[in-house]
Amino acid sequence: MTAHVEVGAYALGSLSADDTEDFEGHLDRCPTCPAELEWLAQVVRLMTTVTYSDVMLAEAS
Amino acid sequence: MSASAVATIEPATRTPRERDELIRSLYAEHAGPLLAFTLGLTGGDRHRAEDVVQETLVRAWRNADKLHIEEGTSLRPWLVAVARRIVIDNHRRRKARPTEVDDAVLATLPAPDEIERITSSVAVQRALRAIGPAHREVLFEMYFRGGNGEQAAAALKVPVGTIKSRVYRALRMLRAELESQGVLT
Repeated sequence: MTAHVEVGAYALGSLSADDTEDFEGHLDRCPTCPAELEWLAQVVRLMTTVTYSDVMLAEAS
Repeated sequence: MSASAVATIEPATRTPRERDELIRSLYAEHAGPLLAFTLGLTGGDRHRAEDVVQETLVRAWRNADKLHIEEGTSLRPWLVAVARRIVIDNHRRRKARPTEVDDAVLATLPAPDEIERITSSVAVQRALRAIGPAHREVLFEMYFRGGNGEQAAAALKVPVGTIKSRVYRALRMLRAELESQGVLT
């Protein structure tokens, strides 16, 4: 597996500190990941409008 | 599972040494990932993003006595929410409102930002329902519970490589759903 898929976890801010550093090294060199990151970051920005309790309530219903 | 499974507010007195230890561990564990997240909110402006991360962790430190972390949970959702709040407040401060606007009238209406937030929230929740349980639960573990790949892998009992590709696919599916709802183009 390539480093590309890590862009998902990176966009969520969910990579460990070490993995974040590794991925940022990849991001500097990769021709496609910066655009992909911006594309997924738009989704993550919308996700910040949903709270943990919203999700828990949805699971319970 | 109850909502108390996340970082809960609970009176707990920490000694200065424990507070120092807390801020060190907050930086070690969260500064990198928070910066990655905040860069997305500041349009890639690293200087502004770093200021926001700094301010977020300082707020966590100031609230150290009220923050209580239970076993197996993370402060990440709390930190992400605070970072987002700071970015929005900074943005508002920069585009100061014209003085002739009657604040008393405005105060009775929900702020446009608030309406937008609710609209987005409803759309995202609908999209989360549409992408199916396997992809929803990986986003739940890695975003709402704030775990990293290893923690999500342990919680869901699948290899970490699977988690990383699944969270990637989950975000792409969420994006497609939000596009079909017309929220993103």
